[in-house]
Amino acid sequence: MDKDLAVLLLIVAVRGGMPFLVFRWQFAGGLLCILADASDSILQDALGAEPLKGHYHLVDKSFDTYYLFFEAIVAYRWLDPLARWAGIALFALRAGGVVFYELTEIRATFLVTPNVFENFYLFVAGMRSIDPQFRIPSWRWLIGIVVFVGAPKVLQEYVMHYREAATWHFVKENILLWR
Amino acid sequence: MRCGPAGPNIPSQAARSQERRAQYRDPVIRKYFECDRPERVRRAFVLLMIAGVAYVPGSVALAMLLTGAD
Repeated sequence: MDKDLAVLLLIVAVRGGMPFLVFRWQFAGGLLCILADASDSILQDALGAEPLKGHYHLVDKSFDTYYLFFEAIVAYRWLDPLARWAGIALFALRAGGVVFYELTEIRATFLVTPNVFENFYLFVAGMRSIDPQFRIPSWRWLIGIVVFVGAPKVLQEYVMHYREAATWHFVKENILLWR
Repeated sequence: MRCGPAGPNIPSQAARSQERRAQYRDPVIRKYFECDRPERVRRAFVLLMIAGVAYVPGSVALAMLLTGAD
């Protein structure tokens, strides 16, 4: 089998299959989705194939929205109304931003619609794995949580999506020292 | 002449503040660590992952900005 095709099938299998785990393990499944998100760049580099060449951002964004949708379904089932509706609103903001960007290609969209949902989801899912009765006590707590998990995400969006920096290459060469 | 406090025992400002802090801390942090050791380690790991997932990529992004690597 052609190496590019094999890598493509592997990427599709990993990124397409992993989100189903959030239905069984809300928190661990969410973490594995992040690993799967990083896996496409790593697999392409490690196996020396580029099946997504030229379409990487579109494919990556589509799979991102795909797994966030699974997490949004989980969030919709949470009994805590503050967590549930904040989660749905943050997902809608992000999904709307992705669609808007694909239509207009205005990169500043990602700064206005950062993916805070993912960090918020992991916060609530993680707290629920510690205490199944966990609830966000008040609006003030909700705002505090969104700022806590959202602030680093805005910075990350600015560097990765607005300035289009190659984060994986920076990590690989300067942190992992993998040359 | 009557001795001692004239009315109900009103706690001092410092005592009230301390009590409020204890109430604030109890349900949020201490409650989550009142369990056996393996579970305590698991919960600490979950909290670490929640913070790490948010702040490790954020720190990498900050490092890229500061070093001009982007």
